[in-house]
Amino acid sequence: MTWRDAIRLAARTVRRRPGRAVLTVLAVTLAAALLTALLTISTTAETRVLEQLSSGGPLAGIKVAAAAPDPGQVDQDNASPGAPKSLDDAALTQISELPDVREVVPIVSSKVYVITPARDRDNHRIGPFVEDLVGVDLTRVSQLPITPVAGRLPSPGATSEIAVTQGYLERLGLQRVDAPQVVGTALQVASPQVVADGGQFRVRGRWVKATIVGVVAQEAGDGQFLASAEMVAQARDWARAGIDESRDLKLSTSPYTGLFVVARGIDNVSKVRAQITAIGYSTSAPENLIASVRRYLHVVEIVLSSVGIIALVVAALGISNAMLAAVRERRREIGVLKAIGARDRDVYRVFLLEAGTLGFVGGVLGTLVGWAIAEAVGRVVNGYLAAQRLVGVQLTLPWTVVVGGIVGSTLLALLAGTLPAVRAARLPAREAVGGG
Amino acid sequence: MVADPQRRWGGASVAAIGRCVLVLFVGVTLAAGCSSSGGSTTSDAPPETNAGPGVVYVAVGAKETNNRDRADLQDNWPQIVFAESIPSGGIYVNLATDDATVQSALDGQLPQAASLHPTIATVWVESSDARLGTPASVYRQKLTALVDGLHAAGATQILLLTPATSTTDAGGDLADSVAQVAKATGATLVALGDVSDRADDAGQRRIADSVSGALRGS
Repeated sequence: MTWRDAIRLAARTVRRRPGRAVLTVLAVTLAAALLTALLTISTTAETRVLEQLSSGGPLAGIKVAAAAPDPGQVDQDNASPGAPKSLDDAALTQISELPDVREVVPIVSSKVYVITPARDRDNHRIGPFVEDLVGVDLTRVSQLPITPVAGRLPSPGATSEIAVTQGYLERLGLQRVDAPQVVGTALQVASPQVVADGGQFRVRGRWVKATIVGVVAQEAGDGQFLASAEMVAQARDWARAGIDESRDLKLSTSPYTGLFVVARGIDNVSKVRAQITAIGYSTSAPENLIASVRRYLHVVEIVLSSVGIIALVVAALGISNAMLAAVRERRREIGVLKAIGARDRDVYRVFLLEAGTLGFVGGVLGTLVGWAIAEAVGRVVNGYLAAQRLVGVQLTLPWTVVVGGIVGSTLLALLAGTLPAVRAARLPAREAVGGG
Repeated sequence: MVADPQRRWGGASVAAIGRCVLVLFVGVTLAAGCSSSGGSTTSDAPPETNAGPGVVYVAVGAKETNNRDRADLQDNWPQIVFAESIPSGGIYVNLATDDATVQSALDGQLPQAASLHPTIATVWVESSDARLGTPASVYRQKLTALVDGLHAAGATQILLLTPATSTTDAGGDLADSVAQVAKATGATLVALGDVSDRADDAGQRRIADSVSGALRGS
C-alpha cells in the first residue's frame, strides 16, 4: 500500500464517521486553544505580570531616604533612618550607576497647609492641618508602589490635581469603601514661606485650589497627598524664596526627599541595598515579605501546573479512546485489508495517519481559537491597565507558539494513536474477519 | 522559587505550563475586576484638566486684608473669596501686611504681585494712610500707580475696596479718592459700607460676599 493509498483510506474513514471525527477534533481543538492562549498571554504579559513579581517593578523596589543608615537597622524591612543627609543629583547618579540597578525614580515632598471643605461624622468643620505632599514623576508611576483605590492618578505635570491616601479618609472618619465620596472635591493647599512683616517674621501661604482626582494606596513617600513632581517643585520653590530659605519652618533642604530604586530582579535587592548602605544612605525594602510571597507563589504554580498536565492527559486519553473504538468497529475492514494483501505496517500507517489528521486539524483550529481568546483577554487587560494609567501590553503571537501548537497537537495525536494503531496492525486477518 | 523566565514552550516544563495557567488566571481575574469595580472606578474620576496657568488671585492690602490676629483662617474674607469664587486650579496669595500704606504697598507688595502674574487682584489700603494723614492727592497718585502696576502685571480684574468713610486726620476723604481712582483706571469699586477694620466672622462673610458679587458682575 502506498502512502497515497493510506492517506486516501484514512480520509475516507474520517468522512465516514463525521460525528466521532468532529468530537475528537473538538477535544484537540480545546486543548490546543487553551495552550495557545496561555502561551501567547504568558509570553507577552510576562514583563507586565511575572516581572513585577520576579524580575523587577515595585516589589523589587528599595526606598532610599535622605538620611544616613542606622547600623542596627540595615537588615530590617522597614529600617529606621539615621541622621538627615542631603540626597542630591550626585547621589542619584551614583546609585543609578550601580550594576544591578534597573531604574531610579526620585521622590520629592513638601509640607503643606490644607483646608478641606469636608466635615467630620458629627458635621463639625475639620480645621486646617499640616501634611506632606508627595511628588513623583507620574509618567513612571508603574515603577512605584502606588495603587489607585478610586478615581484616577493625577495627570503627569498637573499642578492642581492630587490624589489622597486612606490616611486622609481616616482623618475625615471615612472607610475605604467611602473613597468615591471624596473624588472630585476641592482642597485648598498652601505651601508656606517665611516673610517679614512689621519687624517680625510670619508665614505666608501660596494657596492652590486642587481637585482630588483619586484615592490611592501608596508607599512612595510619607504623606497623605500625592501629586506630580512639578506641583511639589512649585511648593518647594515658594518656600525657598522666603527669608533664609524659610529655614525657620524646619523644612527638608535635601533636593530629593527620597529615591525609589528598582533592582534587576528580587534576587538582587539585598545586594543593591548593601551597596546603597555603603554609599551612605538609609534603605528599606520588603525583602522578608517578598520571600514569603514567593513561597506561596511557588505553591500556586505547582497546583496550576498539575491542572495543566491533567488537561493534556485527558485530551490524549480522549484521542486514544476514540482510536481504540475505531479499531474495534473496523475489525472486519482491517481483516479485508489484510486479506487482499495489506501488511501490518500498512494498517499501522492508516490508523496513525487518521490520528495525525485529527491532531493536525485540531491543532490548526485550536491555534486560531487560542489566539482569539488571547486577544479578547488582552483587550480586557489593556482596558484595565489604561484605566489605571499604567502601560498596556502589546499581544504578539510568536511563530514558535503557532508551530508548536500545530506540531505539538499532531505529535500528541500520533502518540495517543500509536497504541490503537499497533493493536490494529497486529490483528490477525482471519480473526479480524471472523470477529467483525 | 519562581520559574526561570527563559524557559519556553519547547522546554515543555511543568513550571512553564504552570506559568501559563497562572497568567490566564491573572488575566481572567483582571477581566472580572474590570467588569465590576474597575468600570465604576474610572467613571467616578474627574476629567483630566489642563495643566496650564489658571486664575491667580492676589490680595494687596493692610491689616483688614491680612487678618493675622484672627484665629480661624478659613473665615478670613480673602480666603472665602478664594474658596468660593476662584475656580479649581486657581492660585491665591495674600500679600497684605499689617501696617501697609499705599506707598509701602507700591514698593513692597506690587513687585511680589507682579512676580506671581496675577489675573485678579483686590486692593484695600486705607487705614494706615488715614492714620498717618497721607494727603488725598498723594494717596490718589500712589493708588493709581499701584493699579496701573497690577494692570501691567497682567491683572484683568482689579477690585478696589473701601469702607463708607475713611477720613484722614488732615481732613481728606480717602474713600472718595478710591472711587475716583477706580473710575480713572477702570478698576471695579467695591463699596463695603459700614465695616470695622477688625470684622468678626459675620463681617468677614459680608466683605467676601461683596467682593464675590463684584467679581461676578465685573
